[in-house]
Amino acid sequence: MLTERLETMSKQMDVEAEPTLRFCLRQDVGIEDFGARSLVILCDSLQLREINSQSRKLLALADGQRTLQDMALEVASECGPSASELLAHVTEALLQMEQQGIVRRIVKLISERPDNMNKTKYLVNPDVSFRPEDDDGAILFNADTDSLEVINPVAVEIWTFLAAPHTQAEVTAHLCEVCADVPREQVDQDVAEFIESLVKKGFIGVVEEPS
Amino acid sequence: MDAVDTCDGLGEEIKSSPVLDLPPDVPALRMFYLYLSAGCNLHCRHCWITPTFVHGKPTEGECIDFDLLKAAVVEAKPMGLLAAKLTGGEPVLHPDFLRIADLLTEENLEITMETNATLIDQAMANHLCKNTKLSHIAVSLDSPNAQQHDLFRGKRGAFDDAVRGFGHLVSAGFRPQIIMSVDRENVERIEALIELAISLGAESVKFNPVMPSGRGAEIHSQGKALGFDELLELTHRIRGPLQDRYDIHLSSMVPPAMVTVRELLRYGSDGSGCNVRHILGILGTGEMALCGIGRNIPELCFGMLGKDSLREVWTAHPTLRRMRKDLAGPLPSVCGDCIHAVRCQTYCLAENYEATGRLVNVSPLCAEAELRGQFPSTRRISWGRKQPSE
Repeated sequence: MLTERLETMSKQMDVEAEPTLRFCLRQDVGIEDFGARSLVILCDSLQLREINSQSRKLLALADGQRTLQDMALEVASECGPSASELLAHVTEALLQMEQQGIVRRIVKLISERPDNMNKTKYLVNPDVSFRPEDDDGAILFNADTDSLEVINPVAVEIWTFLAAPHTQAEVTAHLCEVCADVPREQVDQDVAEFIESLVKKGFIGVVEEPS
Repeated sequence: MDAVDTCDGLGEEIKSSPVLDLPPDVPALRMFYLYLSAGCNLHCRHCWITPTFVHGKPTEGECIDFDLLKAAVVEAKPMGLLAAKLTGGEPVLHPDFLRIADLLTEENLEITMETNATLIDQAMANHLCKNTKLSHIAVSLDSPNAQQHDLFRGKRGAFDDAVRGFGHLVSAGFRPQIIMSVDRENVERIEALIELAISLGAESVKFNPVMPSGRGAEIHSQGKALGFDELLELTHRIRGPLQDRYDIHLSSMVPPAMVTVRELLRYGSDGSGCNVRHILGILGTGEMALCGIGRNIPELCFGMLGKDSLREVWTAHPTLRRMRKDLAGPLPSVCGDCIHAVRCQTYCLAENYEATGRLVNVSPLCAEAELRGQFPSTRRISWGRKQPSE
């Protein structure tokens, strides 16, 4: 089962990260600095992670306000490479720390459909645990609210795709590639209903554009 | 599914209706389980209620008194009462059966019923359909084979009488559910029973394993009951290939943690737990009880209609208060780490009590799964968290 879990994470990691993503330190995490190295204490699972000074710097910048782009700009101002060159490294580091349970991405949970459906980017709630079972579908579980949702394989495809921020149109386009035999109008309608339903339940949130 | 499931508790609409007059820490009393008669005209070898065998008229004092029931309904309505299930023994044995159905209808309660159907004639079926709020009927039928059913039910002719009564209900306009109690002796006949159900005009078929309660305990001690593996295999067969094959709703009762994602997708929350927090049983003797289990376990009876205040029992009886407190959590054993616990509520509390002496405890099936290391890890809240030893 652990293998399954890791495979799921890898699948989520494969997606192209969005430079407007924002991260913050998880609440159950503490940091002890020892010179050039730091220890991250994961209180919930009683684990330790050792990180280098570059990652420690990024953790200091991951305040939930700065985007990946902002962080790359700040790091670039202190060292040689340009922000565009650094962005990929910053993104990779944050995604790895997310996988290790050190940081979580910021998702705004809303209960209503956003005003501008076409431009809104959706993202899975990082507090929701995604539990695939065979090829039959998966269970989404939010321990904070004790809420549970059972989803079918198509919804699993949407869920994993929304590990990175995407608009409804992008989700539809992605699904049309996966389910080539289903009419686009039908896919679009199903995607809209699925997203609206999970947004209402707090399983999917929206990515706020930086002010 | 109907708004009210006759065997599993309450529909969403019932659960969410307003309560008028209760302390904030006391849940609404939404449904009566009315064990109208403590007697039954059959002598089923598996019955968990162990009713008195009745040949002719039921014994006085073993049928709920009409006036006391009427007073109980009046007292319970401000506490949120919206529905009643008529069961027994055999509910139709009650000498005031139709009068009671009319009373509950006048009080605007949704009515469901469990019956062996052997005593239902056309006039009764017509009256129930046209004049009452009876919306869901479950009829017991344990085999498509008359001889086997009669043996199960302890009375020759029970099969023919049940099928005749079922026909009257269908003619009147009902589409009853068939409930089959399953053990090792009739399990091979479930497909034939489904086909019979379709031919009779049933709406659905539900399969209940014989429980180790009442007379069912003997079936278990004789090794005739379904074991852990057999029960799960049967569940997956019913909810999978058999449901694929037959155009009639099939269901079986196991805790939600024991069913697959595919089955959860197909059945939703159907059969995922008992709404015991909102239900009060009233036995044929007039005793207020958790449910029919009070017939066999006196400490799960909380008072007597006519002597004790129903409101006092519902709001203050220590067993009910303890049960509510325990259900609020933390739940014991694997239930405390189960993502279904909020809905499942430890599943069947009567069964838990029989097995462990505690109402709020892990269900025997989940306990067995945990013991065997077969409790699905993805249903644990802690899934994905590494343990310190890893």
